[in-house]
Amino acid sequence: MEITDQLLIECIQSGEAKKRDWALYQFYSDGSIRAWATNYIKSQGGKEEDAEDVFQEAICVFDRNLRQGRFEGKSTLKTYLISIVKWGWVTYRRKQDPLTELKFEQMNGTVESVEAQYFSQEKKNLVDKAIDALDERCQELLRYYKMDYSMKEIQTLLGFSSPEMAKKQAYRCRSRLRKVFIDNPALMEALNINI
Amino acid sequence: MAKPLHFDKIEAYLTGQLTDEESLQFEKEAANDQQLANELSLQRLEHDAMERMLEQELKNKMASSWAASPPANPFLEKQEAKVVQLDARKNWRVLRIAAAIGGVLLITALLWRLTNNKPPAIVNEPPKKETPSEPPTQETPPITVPEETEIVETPDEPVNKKEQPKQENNKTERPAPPPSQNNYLAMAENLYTAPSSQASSLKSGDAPSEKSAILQAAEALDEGRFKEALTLLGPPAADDQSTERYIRGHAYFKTGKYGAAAEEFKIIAADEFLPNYQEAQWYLLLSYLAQLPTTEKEFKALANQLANDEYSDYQQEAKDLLEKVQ
Repeated sequence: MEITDQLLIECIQSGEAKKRDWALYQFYSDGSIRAWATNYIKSQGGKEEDAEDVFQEAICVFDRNLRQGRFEGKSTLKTYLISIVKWGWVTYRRKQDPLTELKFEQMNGTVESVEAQYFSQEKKNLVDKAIDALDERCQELLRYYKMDYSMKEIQTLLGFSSPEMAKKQAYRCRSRLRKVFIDNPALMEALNINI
Repeated sequence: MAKPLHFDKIEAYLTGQLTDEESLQFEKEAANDQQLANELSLQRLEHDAMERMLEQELKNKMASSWAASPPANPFLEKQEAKVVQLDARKNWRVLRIAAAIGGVLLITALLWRLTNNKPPAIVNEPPKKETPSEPPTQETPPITVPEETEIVETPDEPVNKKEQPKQENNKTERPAPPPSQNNYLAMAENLYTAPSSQASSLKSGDAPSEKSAILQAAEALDEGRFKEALTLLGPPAADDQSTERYIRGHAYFKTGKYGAAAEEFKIIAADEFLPNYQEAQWYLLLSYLAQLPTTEKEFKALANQLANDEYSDYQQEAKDLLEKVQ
């Protein structure tokens, strides 16, 4: 079986955990991409550990962009991932030094900016707190929901009595998240939300 | 729990279900409507949080499980299944013969059974009364509703849809007597259905001698030994788990301590993410019902809340109950 970009995209967008994992693993375990990322980051003054962090973060953004149909097909997937690593490195450095300049020419024009698709550290921390307020079952349910599993599949996977009950629970879990957000004035202010 | 006004529309927008034109129109609306803009920001944040959960899970896999065992190729699994199918095709002839032999054997066995089995003799005598070897353990609830008692109405549906089979509505409806405390009690007792087995829902691999007090209390509740369940659990404490409270609430209810039952159910019903949250709301309502008219305010507030909650499993029951009580 030939592993093509089209096949990998289909796997990541399929909503099936096994296929998605397998497809992402093809990139994660690709020695050439990893070696390139490490060399690049080292050449930019980064360390080996930085390279691993940036690489993993880039895989996450890569996965999300493909699932959400943001990849426009202007390059191969490998090139796309490499450009995400580059953006990821800039974002990573900005966390440490907010004055780091973002140079578009670094991207060689292969892709549009993906910087905005990296969550800011501040937002990550706030969102992580909200996630911690959910029990593991709620988190699992919402992961399936986000992966576009049907309510019937969620019912089976989590043992609900009916798809309707799965839907109700998904809504309840989201309400819980929302409550944590609303109860967090710093987050509301940062997002300019007046409740 | 009221659903936000624009939830479905925003969800369609955020998940890319709107056309470009519809999306633009929606963005214009959001720009001119502060409430919509706020709901959109919050709902987008929910999606960001869900993405973050996926991200965390993926990072965990990269950091640990993928190093130990890479994800299997899903296409190889399917190919293997196909190979088995092809083998079966190759051996079709053998399979047909085997099926034919099996069929003949089955028919022979059935014929042999029919010719050798005599029909059971019909004995026209009343069934023997079995004498229990020991007194029944089920405690008699303090408020019993004998069959002769006039029941104003019986519920059309069982209270617990998941576990309880449908009750037949075969009781004769009679003109409703003026509501009295006893009627409310009878109604509450009549609407009460035992919860699903609490012992089986508590996972425990412990040996019987090592059973936790909660598990023993759950077994006692399942078997109708309500006082024993209460003794095993002890009095309520601030750090009680919701399961303890749930079991204790039922045991209190069945021993006629409706106020104490309400206190236990109330704590679970206050947190929608606790197990049995919805059930606790319903049993809390029944506990209030049993105490009417003293708890009229609490009863009406909760009954109205459930009746208006489209996500409640007990919405219809609450509506029916409100009608009956009014």
